[in-house]
Amino acid sequence: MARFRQRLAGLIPWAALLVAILVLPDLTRPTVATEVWVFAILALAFNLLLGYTGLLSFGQATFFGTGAYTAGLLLIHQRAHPLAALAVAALAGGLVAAVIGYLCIRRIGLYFIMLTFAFNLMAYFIVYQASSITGGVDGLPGVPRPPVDLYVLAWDIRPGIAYYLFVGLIFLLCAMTLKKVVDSPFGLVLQAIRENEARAAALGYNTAAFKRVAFIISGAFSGLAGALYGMLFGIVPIDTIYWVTSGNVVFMTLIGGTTSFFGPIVGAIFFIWLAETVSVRWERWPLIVGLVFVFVIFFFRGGFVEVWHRAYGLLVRLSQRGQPKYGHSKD
Amino acid sequence: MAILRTENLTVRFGALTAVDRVTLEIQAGTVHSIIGPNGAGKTTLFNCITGEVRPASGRVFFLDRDITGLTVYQRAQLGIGRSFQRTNIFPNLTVFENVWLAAFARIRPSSFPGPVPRHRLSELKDRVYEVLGEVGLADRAGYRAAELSHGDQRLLEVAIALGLSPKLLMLDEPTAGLSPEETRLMMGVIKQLARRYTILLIEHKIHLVMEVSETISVMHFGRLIAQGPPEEIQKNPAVQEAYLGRR
Ligand SMILES: Nc1ncnc2c1ncn2[C@@H]1O[C@H](COP(=O)(O)OP(=O)(O)OP(=O)(O)O)[C@@H](O)[C@H]1O
Ligand SMILES: [Mg+2]
Repeated sequence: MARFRQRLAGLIPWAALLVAILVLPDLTRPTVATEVWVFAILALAFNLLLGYTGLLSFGQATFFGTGAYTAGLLLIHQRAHPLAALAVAALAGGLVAAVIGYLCIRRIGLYFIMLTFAFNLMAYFIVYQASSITGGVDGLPGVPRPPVDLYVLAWDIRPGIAYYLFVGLIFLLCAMTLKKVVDSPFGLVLQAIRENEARAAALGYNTAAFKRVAFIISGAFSGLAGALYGMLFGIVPIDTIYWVTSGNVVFMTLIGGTTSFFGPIVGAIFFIWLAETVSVRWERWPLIVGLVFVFVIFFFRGGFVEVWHRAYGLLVRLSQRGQPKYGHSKD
Repeated sequence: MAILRTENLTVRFGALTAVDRVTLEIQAGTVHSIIGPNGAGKTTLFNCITGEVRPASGRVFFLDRDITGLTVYQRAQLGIGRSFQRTNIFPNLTVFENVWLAAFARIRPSSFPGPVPRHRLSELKDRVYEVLGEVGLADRAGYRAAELSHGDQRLLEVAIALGLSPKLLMLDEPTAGLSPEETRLMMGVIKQLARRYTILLIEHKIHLVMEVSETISVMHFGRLIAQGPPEEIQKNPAVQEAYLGRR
């Protein structure tokens, strides 16, 4: 019975996500709604490193951009199947993350963060210089969105709302896969490394190897998100590989909450909402972003998810006043 | 048979020689204790055996294999399990997960993220509850490790080492900071383990050491100054002067 209730409780966030995917297009333009789920994938991929492994990568745009340009070029020049383009973009993101991760993981703490940042700057510069291929600062235009041909039927994803559903579906698949990863034995070892790397090594885990694998997985999902982004606007803007995008991912993840799996999704929704609604009215919108950030860091280290937990905890306490608390420790 | 052997092991921290030409043999199936005053170099010797600290010179052999150049995780995979003097757990994971991670490392330490067969998982679960039962923490399995009392955290510290099912179990002052009552509990646990494991034990509680050890080595200023069965060590004048006499 307890187990059944636990299972049921585990389904609630997924049901909420499904509802969110279905109602979001009613609240805003399809492009904005699509962007939400693209960045939600990116934030989840990033949080595999930050929240689960304890690695602050300040270069997530490297993999996002790699995926975006890879898919863009494939779609433009090879007329690739969209699913093939996504797969190759994920592969490219994972490959680049394998190399960069390998080099960065040799350093720890601040040096690790700065290295991921430095590689991001280098990646940007390469894309900037190779303008004959990438379009340089102007971006890579003319990315088509061919139908998703599944032999029995071809799904036309050119209409905004069709593409929105396509991205929503891919987001759900990505989120479910990543949830499986973090709940697996592998995911628990990552958390052990976050908690106490020295002890994890004393148990026999090659912690550097685990971090490298986490990096590759994170890079692959980031690359996939990048590909979806390029297909959304029909152009790959150079911003996809710019360090500000890396910073935005850090922001949305922290603000949503790194301690829960679903937190970064909430952060992504909030960030895109802020960027789209406030930025069109007021060009100094980063100021608001900064203020929110400071507020969250000071009062809710666990992000929005903590706000929810605290409110929920308060409700429970109010409703159970006087009853003995269950599960307190010995002292 | 010697399960572990050190040869002229020397560790320096700057000008300080924390471990000074220590040559030691641990016989399989025995409890071997290391005693000595604070700062004698006992923990440093442990760290050098497990790979956390690199020796300036000397060698370490485990099951007749030279492991001096191996990393911490490689030595752990060979079957060296340890507990730490300063509690060293995974604070935000549950008690169950803390021990589970140790048991899982024994069967699959590789970083391959693939699935684990179902029967393996249920074996692991049984093993974890077996270990938690041994140290008396089974009813705390679902607690976050950080929520445990200091005494229970010390027990968890030992349980994590046990989860590894190590060929050599190294315990660094398991009773550190425990109340008299908790100490008695821990001593009971260690006496139980003594029958089934090869144990290398660092301990200040001299009556425990005398009771469980087959062999005792005494360290003072990084050096081994005496070694032998408990009765002999008790009578050794150099030991009395360096260590026992101060009490
Ligand atoms: N990482 C380190 N850097 C510098 N000096 C160290 C380091 N670790 C230990 N020492 C020094 O080496 C000496 C031996 O320390 P060690 O912890 O091995 O002693 P110990 O016998 O375990 O003592 P205790 O009984 O207090 O635990 C001490 O003087 C200590 O200050
Ligand atoms: Mg010590």
